[in-house]
Amino acid sequence: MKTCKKLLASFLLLIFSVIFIALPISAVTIPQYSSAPNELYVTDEANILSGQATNKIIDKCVKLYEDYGVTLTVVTIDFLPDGYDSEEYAYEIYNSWGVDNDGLLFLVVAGEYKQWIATGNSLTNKISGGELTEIIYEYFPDYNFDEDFDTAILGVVTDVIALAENSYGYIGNNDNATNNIVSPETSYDTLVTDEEPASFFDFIIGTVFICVFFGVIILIVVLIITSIRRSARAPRRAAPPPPPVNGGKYYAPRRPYRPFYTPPVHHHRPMSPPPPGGFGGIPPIGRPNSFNNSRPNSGSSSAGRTGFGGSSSRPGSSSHSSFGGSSSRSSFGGGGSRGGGGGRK
Amino acid sequence: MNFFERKSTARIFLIICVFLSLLLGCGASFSRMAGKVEKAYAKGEDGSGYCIASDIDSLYEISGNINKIAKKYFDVSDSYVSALQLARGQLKDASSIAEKKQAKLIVDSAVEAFYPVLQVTAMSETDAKYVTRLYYDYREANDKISHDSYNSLAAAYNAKLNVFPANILHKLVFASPFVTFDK
Repeated sequence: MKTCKKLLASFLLLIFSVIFIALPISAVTIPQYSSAPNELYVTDEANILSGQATNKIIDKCVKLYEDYGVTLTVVTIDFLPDGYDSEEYAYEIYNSWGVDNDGLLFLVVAGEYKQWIATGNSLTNKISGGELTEIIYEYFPDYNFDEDFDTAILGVVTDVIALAENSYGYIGNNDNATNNIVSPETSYDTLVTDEEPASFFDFIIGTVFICVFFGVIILIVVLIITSIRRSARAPRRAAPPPPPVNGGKYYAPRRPYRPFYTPPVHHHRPMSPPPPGGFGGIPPIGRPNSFNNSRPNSGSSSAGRTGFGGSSSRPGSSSHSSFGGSSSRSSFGGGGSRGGGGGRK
Repeated sequence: MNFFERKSTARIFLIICVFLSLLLGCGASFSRMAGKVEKAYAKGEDGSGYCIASDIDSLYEISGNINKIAKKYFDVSDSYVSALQLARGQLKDASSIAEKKQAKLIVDSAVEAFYPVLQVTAMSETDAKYVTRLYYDYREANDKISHDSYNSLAAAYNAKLNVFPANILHKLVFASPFVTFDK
């Protein structure tokens, strides 16, 4: 018994330790962008960009956001986490940071020579992955890369900005820098409805279920009424047995069993005095001792029901404020990417 | 004694009612869950239209454009061209989600097999750029399909079908699991 308990305890300990150790390992590490004004456009964790190149990239990205409402952010890291390629990791960072729907995230993995540009939900149909891949291969060729990351990254940023400007109209002071999802120009627009109509199968199931449910209720009610009626009906007297033949015994008819029946109380007349001179006549036969069962008073106690009710007040929903519209940004406006984009995996 | 007044009749009727309501309830809830998954496939989880169905249509168009360029340099009866043509036809004819997935995999194989051949084929610079760009567009559409929220919804639905008692009940109400488009 003690051995079993020990074994169980050690097994549980093993399970919990595996769970707690496994949890942090399974979560992928996402780099953090700086919250200083406008520094969210460049996150140089691999430290491959010079200060001058960083400032140039920031200026270009700020101008792109102000003029076209498109967010471009550059991220450099040394190595990809295990199990991720550049596309998947760029997708994770994009959604983790909540980069705008009108956005691009350019990931450079310096140690593995991989690059990827992820696009936001709204840009996904405007800039194709093929175009982005071509740009990347132009500045990061398969061979003879001269390790000049400043020039290569600046070149990619410049060409990508040109692509984005062609896809979006000039908006001046960034009045439309919000996270509007642009519906794709497909026939699926007509399929979008707020309320989904119930399917025919749901309707049939619902109808059958209601019929069965009410059928059961009705049947139960009918059975209850029937049984009440039966008990309330006067009992039938049993037919008297035929007279005995040749000296058979005769049994008086049995009185029916009526447990709650209280026979009326008979008050006997006092016997009339015998006529003078002896007895005469047959005195009336009196009923045997009658029992006087008084029905117990069924007191109906009605406990007062205190209904409780209350109104639960829902907490007020907090309003969501969106960012955008100013040249100095310290966080993204919130959005997402469906994946895709272009580059070298 | 009247048939309807017997206790045994009542018991049998009760059991039948409980069983029927269980089946109907399960069928309704499976149907509701499956409806959400199908909506994510056809219209996107948020109804925005960004969905696997639209991405598969993109794959169909892109592979068609690759085939158009290829036909300039290859014969129509060429094995790669006809394989891609056949695969596209199957993708177009597929109706259910499972059929779409099967057909998509065949188109993927045909494109992956054809692209290296096209890369080494002598063609104009413009066409060579088009082929490269189309191939990366094709790859991009596949990336989006693998990230789509439909996959997680379908996986969650399938996981629910494998738990007792759903693993028995779903067969009685003909609820089948969904295929996923993960990589």
